[in-house]
Amino acid sequence: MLRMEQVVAGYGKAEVLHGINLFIAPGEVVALVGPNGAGKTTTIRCITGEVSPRSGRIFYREEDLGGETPHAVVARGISCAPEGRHIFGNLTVQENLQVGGYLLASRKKIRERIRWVCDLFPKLWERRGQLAESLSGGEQQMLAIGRAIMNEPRLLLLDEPSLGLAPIIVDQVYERIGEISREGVAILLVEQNVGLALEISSRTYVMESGKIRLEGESVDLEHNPYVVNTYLGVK
Amino acid sequence: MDGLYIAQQLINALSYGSILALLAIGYTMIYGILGLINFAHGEIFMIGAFCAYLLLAFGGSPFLIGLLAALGGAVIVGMLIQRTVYAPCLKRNPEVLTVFIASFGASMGLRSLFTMIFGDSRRAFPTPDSLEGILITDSGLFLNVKDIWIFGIVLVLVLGIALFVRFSRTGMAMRAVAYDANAAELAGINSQRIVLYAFVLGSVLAGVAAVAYGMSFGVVTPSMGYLIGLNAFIAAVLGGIGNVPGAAVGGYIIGLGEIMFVALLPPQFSAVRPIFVWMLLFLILFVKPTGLFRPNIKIE
Repeated sequence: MLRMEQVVAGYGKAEVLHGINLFIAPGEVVALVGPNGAGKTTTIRCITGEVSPRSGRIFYREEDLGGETPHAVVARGISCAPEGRHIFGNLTVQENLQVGGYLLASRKKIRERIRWVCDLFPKLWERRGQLAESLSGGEQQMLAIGRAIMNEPRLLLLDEPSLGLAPIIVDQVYERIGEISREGVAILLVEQNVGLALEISSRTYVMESGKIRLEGESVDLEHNPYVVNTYLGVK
Repeated sequence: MDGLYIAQQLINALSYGSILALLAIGYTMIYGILGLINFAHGEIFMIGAFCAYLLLAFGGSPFLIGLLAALGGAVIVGMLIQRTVYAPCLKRNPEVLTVFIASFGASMGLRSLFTMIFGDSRRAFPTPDSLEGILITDSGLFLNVKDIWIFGIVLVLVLGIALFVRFSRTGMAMRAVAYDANAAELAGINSQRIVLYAFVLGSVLAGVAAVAYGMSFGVVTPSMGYLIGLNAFIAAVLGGIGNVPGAAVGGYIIGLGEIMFVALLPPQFSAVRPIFVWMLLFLILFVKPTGLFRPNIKIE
């Protein structure tokens, strides 16, 4: 469904990605893990159109995404819950979701979708009239994910959804990510918590210094000596 | 100095406050969405006034056509400035200072251009007789018919825009872009289009303000947008930048305040009128830099 071929990208003079190849099949959960500064977020930004690759190509459903602006990428069915959540603090929870459904055809459709999102995250329904900035970190993350799935994406990009959350909240968020996946949405998950990522995903890419260092089935990587030593710690 | 005198001064200030309110909304929307002070907004206002003036004074057009010309002229100039000054500038060098200077340059350039063409003298703005006239209340207050029109129309416009920004899909998108343009793009919003909407809407209001100014003050000059533009910008700061109803309230506070400031001081102080606004600005910046109401931008 999504395929990156030899993608090179960076900011200013610095090159961050040195030729990334990866693919995501429909309905699949793929994890992208690695240390800080490896280029995980830049990879996501190449897909969303926030960063234009210097070379290489990105195909989505066999169409080239090259040069598309972020809003046009969303219109094709790719949504993103960015790192740091970036919810609209000046809008209420409900308005955040409405903005998330900006591309939906009608107000009725938006209402239905909000109900669906709030079934998934009941806390958001309780807090729907509150300004989003008043939410706790976990609630803000749920809102960021909820907003991203409002547009009915076929591919969902999640950048560090566990960042800064208490373990019990992380579990709740991941449970919901699992439910979204069971709806048939493909997910690319960027995560520093490698154990968590391997658990929820079917395949995993390990990224280091702008390159894919390892890739494979998540169940296999869990026992890969390099992954165990570098990322999981000796148990 | 009695209550009647003060009431009369407040009534006299209503049109001026209305004009500031309309202009302040333009400043606040563009600042909120683009993060830039559109100093040329005062010139958009001035050019709108000249479009109406030229048609009414020389073309003998009906008043409504003059009003439409002011709106059209303001919108065209607003979009031109966005396309030829701000868009390239933000694309090549999005630094605050660069855009600030570009904005200043656009403002001075347009003002100079119009001074060159029309000279700096005041030109009489023809208001139709049907809008002239004075009502006198039982208590002895004088009401200009045209001031009632201006206040009424501006009130409806301000309410309409406030509702639009609050409830419509585009209005919500505007608030989202103002807060975080990148996140808004990720929600599928074309932020460039929203920027254009903000310029169009702001310019329409500037066009209305231009005709209101012509009616209320009876003159147009190429420099008419300079001081009033600065005052309107300060009104936007006072109302909480990015906050549309706040800007309108700020406009009325400054408009009424400025007139009262002059009215309550001995006559020989009337020349210090602009000082009131600047004192107020310093006061805001010291006491509550975010303004009276909640700003609609991300404050780090």
